[in-house]
Amino acid sequence: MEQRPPLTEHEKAVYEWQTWVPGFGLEGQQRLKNATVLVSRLGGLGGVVAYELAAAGVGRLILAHAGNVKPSDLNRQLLMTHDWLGKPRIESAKRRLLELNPRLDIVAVPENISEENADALVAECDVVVDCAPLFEERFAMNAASLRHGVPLVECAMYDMEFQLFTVIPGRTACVRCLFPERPPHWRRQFPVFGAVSGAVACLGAVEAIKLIAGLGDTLAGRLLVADLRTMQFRQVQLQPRCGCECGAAEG
Amino acid sequence: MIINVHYTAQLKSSVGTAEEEIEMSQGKRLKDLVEDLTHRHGEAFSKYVLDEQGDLLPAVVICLNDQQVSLGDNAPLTEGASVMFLTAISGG
Repeated sequence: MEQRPPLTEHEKAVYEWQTWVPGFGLEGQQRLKNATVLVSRLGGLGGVVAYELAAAGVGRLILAHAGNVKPSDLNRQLLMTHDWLGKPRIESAKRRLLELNPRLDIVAVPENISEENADALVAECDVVVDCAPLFEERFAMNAASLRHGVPLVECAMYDMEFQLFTVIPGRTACVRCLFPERPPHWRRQFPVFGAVSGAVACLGAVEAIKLIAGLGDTLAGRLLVADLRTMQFRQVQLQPRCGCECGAAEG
Repeated sequence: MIINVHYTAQLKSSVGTAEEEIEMSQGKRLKDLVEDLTHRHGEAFSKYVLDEQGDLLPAVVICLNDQQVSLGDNAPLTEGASVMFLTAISGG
């Protein structure tokens, strides 16, 4: 983790209430300031993850999202605004995040994660939060996080359901352990309320904060499955898959 | 014995329910349950769970009593067991 200047008096005032969280304190806040988090895509999931991490005082965010703002983004992508329709999403996101936290260091990448750019981006960060809608992006992110030993928080949703788990490379089940191949029936467009994607995004942001600050117990090796239609939450103990590229089953 | 079966995401939409109770005779195993559900729901179940050879699709996670299991292990089922078929989802 990079060493950044000590917390200023202004920062101590901004984050005062969260430094009261037992086990976090000023030390945890400094760790957030020192941290770099990569968020893949800034839609209904990733936009809220980035917003919560910016609010919490993470020092540097690397944000990857291609394309321009469309009307159909605006029911859930809280970093996108009507006045930015037709303009690059990444610029809208950067502008909104800096309104919230002008101290934030943002690396804005106007591309989606791919096998070509994943390694360079993951190598620079302490935690990855994966919110991409395509499995090709998720597999590229998973492989890069394994190569660089960077913890990965996996956020996913569909309709009123979500799935969330954390990967500790080489120790707990990775994305390919669960889904060795691209699901044949997955479609790019899916039913979504912003409040549902935002719910799992907040939980994903909490996972990132806990990983950085060493706080509490993460979902490493556990999958949280929720159906917000019935408000049923379940946890599943995940098994690393023998022969998977992550090597967790053999480790 | 009664087995509690849970479905998620696209599979839930396809079979038309989030959960159901399946009655099976004692001694049945996980593969027997998959076979039963295939007969019961037809393509609505099988197209999200099985490939053309009838093997489990790699992108389906099966959980028995909240533990991920492999269909190949063909775990025995017991009265009141909970089996969840979890299909891959992504993004938002």
